[in-house]
Amino acid sequence: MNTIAIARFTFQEARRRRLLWLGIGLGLAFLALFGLGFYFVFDDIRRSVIMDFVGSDEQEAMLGLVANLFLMMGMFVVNFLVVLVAILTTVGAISGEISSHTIQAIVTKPLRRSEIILGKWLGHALMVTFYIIMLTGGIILIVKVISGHSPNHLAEGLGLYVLEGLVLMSVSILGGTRLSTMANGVLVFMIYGLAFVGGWVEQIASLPFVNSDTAVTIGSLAGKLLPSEVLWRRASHVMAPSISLGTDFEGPPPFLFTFGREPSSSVVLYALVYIVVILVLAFVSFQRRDL
Amino acid sequence: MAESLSAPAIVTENLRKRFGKKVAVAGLTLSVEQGEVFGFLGPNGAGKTTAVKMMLGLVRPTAGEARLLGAARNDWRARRKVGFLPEHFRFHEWLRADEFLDVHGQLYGMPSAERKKRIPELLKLVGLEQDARRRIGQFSKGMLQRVGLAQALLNRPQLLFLDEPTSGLDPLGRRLVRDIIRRQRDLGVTVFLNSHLLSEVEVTCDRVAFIDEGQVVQIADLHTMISGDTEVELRLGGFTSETIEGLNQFGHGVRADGDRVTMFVEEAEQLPAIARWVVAQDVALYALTPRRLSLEELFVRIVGKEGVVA
Repeated sequence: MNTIAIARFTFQEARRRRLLWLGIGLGLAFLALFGLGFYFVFDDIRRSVIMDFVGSDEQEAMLGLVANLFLMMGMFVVNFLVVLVAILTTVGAISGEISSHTIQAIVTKPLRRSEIILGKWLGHALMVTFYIIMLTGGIILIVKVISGHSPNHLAEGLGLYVLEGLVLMSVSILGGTRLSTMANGVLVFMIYGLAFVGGWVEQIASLPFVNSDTAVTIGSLAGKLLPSEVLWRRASHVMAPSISLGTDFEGPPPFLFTFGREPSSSVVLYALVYIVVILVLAFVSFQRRDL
Repeated sequence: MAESLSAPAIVTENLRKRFGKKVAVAGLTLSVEQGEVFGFLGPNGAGKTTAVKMMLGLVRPTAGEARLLGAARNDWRARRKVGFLPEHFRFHEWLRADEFLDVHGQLYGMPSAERKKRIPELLKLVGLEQDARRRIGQFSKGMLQRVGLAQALLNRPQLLFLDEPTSGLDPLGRRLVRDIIRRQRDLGVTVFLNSHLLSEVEVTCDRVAFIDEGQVVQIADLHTMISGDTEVELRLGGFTSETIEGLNQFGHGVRADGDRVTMFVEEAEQLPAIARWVVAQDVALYALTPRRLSLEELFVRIVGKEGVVA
């Protein structure tokens, strides 16, 4: 009950402080820009592909690849927006209330401190989920309408994106129970950066012509520290269309976001456990905090 | 529930808090009975606010225990019957006054119908009924304090903590707080008043604790307060130097000035004894008035001197 009250309050705060409208407005602006750009570029490519491959079987496959490439590029940008929103909206969720002393009148009410954490988490989780579905759904819809192509395993892909947002948010809330808003923001972005670079190191190191076990290990450790990048990578893999390119290639096209090895589905379980552990740590840390 | 009605409102046992090397509260032991208005006095930095925060579960004690209404300090359920106005009464500025009270009413677990009834009542009580739909961010310090006070009264508390409730208020606001405290006392509510405005404490409190360097230096009852030396003034008719001599057995510093004799006594029990003795001496007794020490004098005497602790 108290958790729901805090969650509702969190939502109310985002709405009242125009954070919600700002996020939605800029998200829509981004989608509009993406839609326009994709429309003209795709139209241009379609005409030249038709000229080069008139009547050939490869024509559709090529257009599918182009559509997918654009889709993934759109998703890549959306991913950054989501990372920003997930971290920036939650980085001061607890620390801001502590530094402004507004927490004092709340914590002294008849509720558990863990309910405050859980309520804040829930309120922000709903907003982040909505934001992710709005942006990725928008990108997918735009690509579908203009090119007729849609990604594979849509629900799983979206679920992975949402999970990535929740992972980042949880870490950011945990940090806020101990650190100032600024220090917490710096810390969470640093860890995110670490996981991001780690992910690429692992990708490149696992290529057949590189094949460095040590680098793969380092990369995967970074992915354990914060599984955001691994989730994003798995989403890219599952959503990429399987296209047959002649006889020597089957499976996802080896493009920008899907070269290297595909993270296994165990990352989902890992991320779920990760979120629970981070939240429990946040409960304990906040419980012991002098306010 | 029966337990919470009979238990003292507040009990602390050797409550300690250390921040690194600095000892903020050094073994605070006190007991506040239900229905009392209890003043908590001390110089700045004496550990008053830290002590209050420990009682309310905002700060973890390094050692010791505190109980509110018979329940352990960290039992969140006990806070259903507790109201608190923090010293830093900062609230979410984007909320309107009525929304602010509604949110806090929800946190008290009050049903919607009760909140709808209680909130306008409280806004009226603190004189903010015209400002119910204004954002808190536009409020003056005094208005913030009023809305904070309303927040502390939402749940009809049995125990009310007020941390410097009048610091931002003008004389009218102070009177309002005084009236609210009196009304709460009439309702049987225990009020724990942390304030450095001695005149406020003097007119509202039943008992006061003087805190210095994180410890209770002295607890004084403000109704029968004769603490240490109290000056007594007698108006006598037909007394002699022997009368003056004889009065010395009840106190010291006896001085005569016309028909007026002043002296210092140490205990309240001396007053009837003096009256009996004077009458037995065949001296006319027109008046016997203990001059109550002002709280300020007492404060300076207790906290201002070193070595009083012992």
